[in-house]
Amino acid sequence: MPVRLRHKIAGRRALACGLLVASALLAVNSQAQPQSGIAFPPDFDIRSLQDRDPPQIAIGGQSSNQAREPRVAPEFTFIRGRYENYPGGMGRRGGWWDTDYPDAEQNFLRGVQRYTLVDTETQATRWLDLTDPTLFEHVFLYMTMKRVPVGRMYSGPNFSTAEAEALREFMLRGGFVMLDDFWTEAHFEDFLIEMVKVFPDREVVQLPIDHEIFNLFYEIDRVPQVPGRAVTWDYGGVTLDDARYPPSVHAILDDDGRVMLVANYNSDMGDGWEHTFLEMYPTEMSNAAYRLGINYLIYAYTH
Amino acid sequence: MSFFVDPYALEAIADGQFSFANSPHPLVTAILILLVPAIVWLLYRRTTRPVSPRWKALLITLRSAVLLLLLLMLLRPVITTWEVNPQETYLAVLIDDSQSMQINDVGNGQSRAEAVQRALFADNGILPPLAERYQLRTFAFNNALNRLDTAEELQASGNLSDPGQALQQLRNQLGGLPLSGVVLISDGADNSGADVLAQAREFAARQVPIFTVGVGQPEIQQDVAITDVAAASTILDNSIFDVQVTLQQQGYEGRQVQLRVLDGETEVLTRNVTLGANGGSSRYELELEPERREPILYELEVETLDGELIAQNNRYQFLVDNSERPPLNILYVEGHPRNEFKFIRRAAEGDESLRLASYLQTGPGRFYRQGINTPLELNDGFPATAEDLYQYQAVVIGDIDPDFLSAEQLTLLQDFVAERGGGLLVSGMLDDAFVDTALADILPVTPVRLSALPGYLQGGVRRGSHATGEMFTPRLTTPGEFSPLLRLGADDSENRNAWSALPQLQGIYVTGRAKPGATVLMEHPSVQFQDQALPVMATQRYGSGRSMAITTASTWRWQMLMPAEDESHERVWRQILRWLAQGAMERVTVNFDKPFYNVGDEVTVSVEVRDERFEPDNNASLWLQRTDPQGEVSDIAMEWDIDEDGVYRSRFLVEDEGVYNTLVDVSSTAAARIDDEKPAAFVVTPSLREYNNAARDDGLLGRIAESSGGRYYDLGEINQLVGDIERSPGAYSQQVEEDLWDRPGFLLLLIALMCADWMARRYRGLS
Repeated sequence: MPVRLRHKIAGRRALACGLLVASALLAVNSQAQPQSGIAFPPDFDIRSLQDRDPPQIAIGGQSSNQAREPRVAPEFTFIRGRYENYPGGMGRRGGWWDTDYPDAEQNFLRGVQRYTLVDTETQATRWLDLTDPTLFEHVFLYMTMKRVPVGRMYSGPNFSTAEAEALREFMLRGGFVMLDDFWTEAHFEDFLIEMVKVFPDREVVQLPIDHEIFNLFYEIDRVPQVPGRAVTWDYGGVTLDDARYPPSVHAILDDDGRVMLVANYNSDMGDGWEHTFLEMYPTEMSNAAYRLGINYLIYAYTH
Repeated sequence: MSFFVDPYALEAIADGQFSFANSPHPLVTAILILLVPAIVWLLYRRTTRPVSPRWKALLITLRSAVLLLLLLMLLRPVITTWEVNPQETYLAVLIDDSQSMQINDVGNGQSRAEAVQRALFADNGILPPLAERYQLRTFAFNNALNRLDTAEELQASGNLSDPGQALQQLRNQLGGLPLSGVVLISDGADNSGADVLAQAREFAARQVPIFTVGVGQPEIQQDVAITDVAAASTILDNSIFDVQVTLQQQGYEGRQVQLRVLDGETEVLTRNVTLGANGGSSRYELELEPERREPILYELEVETLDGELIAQNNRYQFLVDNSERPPLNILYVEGHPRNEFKFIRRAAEGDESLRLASYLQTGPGRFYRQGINTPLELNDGFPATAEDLYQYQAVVIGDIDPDFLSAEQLTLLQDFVAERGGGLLVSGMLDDAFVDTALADILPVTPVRLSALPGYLQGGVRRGSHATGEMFTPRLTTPGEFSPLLRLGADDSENRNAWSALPQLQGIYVTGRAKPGATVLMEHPSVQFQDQALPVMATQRYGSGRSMAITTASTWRWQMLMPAEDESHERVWRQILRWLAQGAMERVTVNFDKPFYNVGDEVTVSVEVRDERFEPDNNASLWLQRTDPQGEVSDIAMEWDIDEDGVYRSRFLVEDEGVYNTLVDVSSTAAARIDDEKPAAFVVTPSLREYNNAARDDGLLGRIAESSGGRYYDLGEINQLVGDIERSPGAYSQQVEEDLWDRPGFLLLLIALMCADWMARRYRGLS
C-alpha cells in the first residue's frame, strides 16, 4: 500500500475515533440540549455508531474484485461506480469518482434502513469498476459526475467505449443509475457529452416536478439545490438557493418511458448525505437529499 | 341355372346343407352304391367275345359310372337354400354420395362414383336383375339418407360419411316394410364418430343382412395431406405464436414441398419442408405473427405435386382469435422493495394480456400502488371482501410479514383459490406464523417452522456462505422441462439450450417437501430435506384453482445477468402469471362444441354464467348476437339448460363458410357488474375429413356385413351379389330344397358315359 494511502487511512481512523468520542459525549448532551452540537436527526440512534466497527473503506487503486464483501448479505448494496479516467495527478487521491465515499452512502443507508423497508445495512456499500461484470448483480448505481476543473479531461468522467457499453447494457437490462454533483452550464454540457457516449440515440430530458419519481415515497414539490460543502457553497461564494444555479433533475428514459438514469444538476446529494452530522451544514438540505435519494431508490425498485 | 353346380351350391354342400331327397336308410344307400359295381363286375365275368382284362376293367368302369350316376340322380340330391317370392319383399341399396367418392383411384382414370354408377345402373349392372326379384329402394347417403330416383342425382358432394346415420334413417323409413336385405356401397369412410356396428347389429336382430361393397383402392398411392394444424385458438399477448402442422404423405418420400400461409389474399409465410417417410406423418413448426386485432382466418397450403390423387387435402383453414380482450387481473402484494418485485413488474408490464396491480409496502406505514385501475383500488390494502378480491384472477404474495394478512383475509384467500378458481403464487419467504394457516394449506409445498428444520438448513439465505444462500443451477424436473410454464423454446433441444444458458440462481427459502398432489417443476441440485431435493418451483391444484410456490428470490438474475435483448425472464414470468390467472373462472364463458365446423353442421353454443361470488346463475337472460360471414346479424335467444346450473345453450345450423362472430349479452340481477358483452368467434371451413384417410376401408365394411349376417364384396365381384342376396337367410325368405339332379351337365355326362360304353362295346364286338 502506498505511503500516501496509509496516511489517508490512518487519518480517517483518527477522524472516526474522534467522532465516536464526540458522539458519546453528545449522546448525553443531545438529550439535554438537542439543538447544539452535531446535528443528528431527531430519530437517529447514536448507538448505531458505537456498535459498529469503524467503516471499512475501499480506496482507488485497489481492484474492485478484491473489494471487501459486506459482512452481511442484505438484498441491497449501495454501488458506486468507478470510471477508468483516474488518477489524474494533482496530488489528490486520484479522481473524482470517490467524492464523499463512503460516508455519503453509509449515512444514506442509515436513512434507507430507517425510513424504508429496503433490506440493507449501513455498511452495505461497495464500489465497482463500470466494466466489472458483478455490476449486473445490482440494480442501483450511484456515480458522481464531478470534474474539477471543468474542461480538463485528465481526470473525471470520460467514459471509455467499454464503460459506455457497460452502462448502457446495465440500464437496458433494468438497472438504475443516479448521477450527482455537477454544476454550471459548462459542466452540464460536459455531462451531455458523456451521455451521448452511453446513449447516442436517446434524449436527455428534464423531469417535471410532477413526475412520479418525485412523489412515489416522499412528496417532493421542488428540486432542492443541495450544496456541496466547501466546493460550491462556502468557498465558492455560493449562497443557499443561489439563483445562479437553478437545480433540476434530468433523465434518460427507456422505450416504455421508465427512467433509467437520473442526473442531479446543480445539486449534490452526496454532500447532503455525507454532512448529515456536520453542524455547519444545513439540516434542511440534508433532509432534502435523503428524500430525493430514497425516492430514486424506491423508483429503482418499482420500475 | 348353371351347367353343372353353381358355386353357391358347392358352398352349401360344404356347409352341410346337402341331402338326398329320396334317400332310404344311409346304410341301404351305401349298400346300393357298392352293389352296382359288384353286379356289373359279376355280369362281365363272361362275355360273348373274349376281351382282355384291361378292356374288361374299362367296360366295368364305364357301365358302373353310368349306373351310379343314374342311381345318384334317382336318390334326388338337393341342397337346402333360401329364396324370396319375387316382388314381395324390398331391397334397399345405399350408395355413398360423399366427397371422397370423387377420388379417381378405381382404374382407367375413373372416379369411385363413376365406377359405382357403371356397376349399378348400366345395362349389365346389378340393379336390373335385382329389380326383377325385389321392390328396389335406392338411396344416396352422406351425412343423411336421401331417396335416389336416377343415377344423375348422385353428386358426390357430401362433406361427411355417416353410414350409421344412414342405416338408422333407413330403419325409420322402411321400418314397416318387409326388407329382405340392404346393399351398402361405399369406400368405407366413416368420419361421423358414431358407432355404425351398433346399427349393423340392429339389422342383424331383425334378420336383415347388409351386403357391403367396397369402392376404391385399399391404399392411396400418391398423396400429400395436411391432416392437422394446431395453433392456440386465442392469442393473449398479440405476439408471435406457434403453429404445428402435421403432413401425411405417400409416394413422395424426401421431396421438398412448399408450405404457404395466407391471411385472406396476403401471403404471410412460406417455408420449404422435406417430406418424411412414406405412409407416415411428420410435424413441422411454423411461427406466425398476427397482424390484426380480430379473429384471423389463416389458410395453410401445401403445393400440389405431380400425380397427386387428392388435391383437396392440400389446404387447411384455421382460426386464431387475436381480438383485443381485457387483460387478466393479477394482484401482487409485496412486503418490501426487492429485485424480484421490480422485475416481475417489468415482465408483466410488457405483456398487454396482463394487468399487475401491485401493493408494495415501501416503508413503515407506507405503501405504493402500481397498475391500479381506479384511485380507490387497493386503497385499503389487501381486499377484505370477496367482491373486491374476486375481481382478480390471480394473487401473488411476496415477502410479507404475518400481520400483512388478517385471519379473515387468509380465509378469503382460500375461498379465492378453492371456490373462485383463482391462482395463488407465493414467491417469497413464508414466515413461521403462516405455517398452520390456510395459506400453508393452499401451497404445493409443506411449510416447516425454522426450529423444526435440521441445523444445516436453519439460517436461510441471509447467512452469508450458508448452503441455502449459495449459487445453484436449478434442476428442471421432467414435468418442468415439458411444462408450458417454463418453456423457453418451441422444440425440446432449443428449450434445453435456453435453460442451460441462464445464469445461476442464488439462495433458497427452505420449505418442507412437496405435497403428494403437487408437481415439482424445478428443484435444488444439492440441498435436500428428508432425502428429497428442496423444491424451487412447484404447483398444485387446489379446489377449483391452482397454487404455486417459488422458493428463491433470485429469478431477477435471469434478467440482469443476461443480455438486455434476452427475453427469458420475461417469458417465464409471463407464462407463470398467465397460467395462474388464465384458469380462473370467468363470469361469462362462451364455448363451442367443436374447434371448427363444416357446412351443414349444427353448432351448439354453451354459455356459463356466474354471479359475483362465482356461483352458477340460473336467473340470467341471454341473447346471442351472431354475425355470419356475409355480415348479416341475427339475434338468438339462449335457454337455460335445466340439467346444468348456470349453463345456457342455443343450437343452429351453419350454411356458409367463413368466420362467424358472436356476442353474448347477459342481463341478470345476480350478474350485476358484468361490464361488456362477451365476444367470441368460430369458423366454418371446407371439410377435409372426406379426403384424409380416404383409402377404401375393407375392414369396416367387412365388419358391418359380418355383424349383420351379410357379406363383403369388392366392387369387381359385385355380380355375385345378385344371387347371394336371394339365397341368404333373412326375415322374409323361406327355406327351399333345390334339386341338383336336373342340371344339364349331369344329363350330358350321362349321355357321354353311355356313348362311351356303347362305343367301347361295339369296338370290341360285344353285342
